[in-house]
Amino acid sequence: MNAVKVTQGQVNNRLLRLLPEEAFRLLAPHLEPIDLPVKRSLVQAREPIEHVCFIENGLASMVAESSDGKSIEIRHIGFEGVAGYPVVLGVDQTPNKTFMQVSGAGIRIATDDFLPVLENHAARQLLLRYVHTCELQLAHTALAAAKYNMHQRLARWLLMCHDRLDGNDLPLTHEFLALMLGVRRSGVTDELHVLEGLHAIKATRGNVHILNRIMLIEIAGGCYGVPEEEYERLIGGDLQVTSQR
Amino acid sequence: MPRYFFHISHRDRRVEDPEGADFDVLDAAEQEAAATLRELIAAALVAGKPSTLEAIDVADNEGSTLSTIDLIDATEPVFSFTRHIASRG
Repeated sequence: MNAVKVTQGQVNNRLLRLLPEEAFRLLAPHLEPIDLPVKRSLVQAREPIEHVCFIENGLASMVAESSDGKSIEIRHIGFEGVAGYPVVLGVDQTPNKTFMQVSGAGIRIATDDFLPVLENHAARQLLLRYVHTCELQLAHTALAAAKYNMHQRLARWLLMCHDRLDGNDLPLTHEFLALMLGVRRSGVTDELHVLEGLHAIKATRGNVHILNRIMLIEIAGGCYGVPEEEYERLIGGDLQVTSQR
Repeated sequence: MPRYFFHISHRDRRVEDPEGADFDVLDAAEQEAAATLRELIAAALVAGKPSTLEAIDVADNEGSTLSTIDLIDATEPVFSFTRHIASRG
């Protein structure tokens, strides 16, 4: 089906890179590079997860929605992860949806072609450990929401985006940041202005330029870093793009 | 649906809204401005930080201010005594 042959040495996705060679070989004939424009759906709520998509670059968001239409972002997925990961846990669909927030590219594979890789012990362990880091990310989102103020949470989210995107320009709208943080949009506008006053960022329409990452980590207090450290410990492969620091 | 912009006035600065948001009618945009002010005041109170917040100007696409929602407008439904306190001040 796919004309482009994907080799393990050329992929950017951390999980694909870290798969045992024999596991990657099993997937290789089925891997399909795709463009991921902004708003592109990767997993639809309550629909069968027909593909998983390893993100090469760009940023996907997993969003939880209530029955009366409220929603909040619960997961960032970038080049460290894979959209559609619930299939690793043996489920066929989820009430959460996943879609692109920052355009990029990915490598997708039909779920039926992907699942046999779980029979490889090391591949299964890698993917289950990734799911565990997803759970940790969610746990710390809950911790941040309950125990940290908006100023600190905004710094955390900006750092998480910065970890996953190449360079220091984050093409994020205030509307998106508001969805991520579960606050009103103007509240984000106001807080970004405060961060600008501290010279941590420079915000322009549809873009947040990171000027001082160290300062953002200080502002975030303790609400950034634990899931990121655990990803490094359990999975490795450098979550943070080294070129930007 | 018309687009409204929410410019935030602080005692010492003004924060321009670069994006705006769509609402059916001005009344809905005003309610959003009031809810935003309440959220910002609440955040400042909880954080124990002094707030310099004064009002939100709701403006149209051309930059004309259509309505100004101040702290009293925003908090009166919650604290019925705010206007009384303000008038004493």
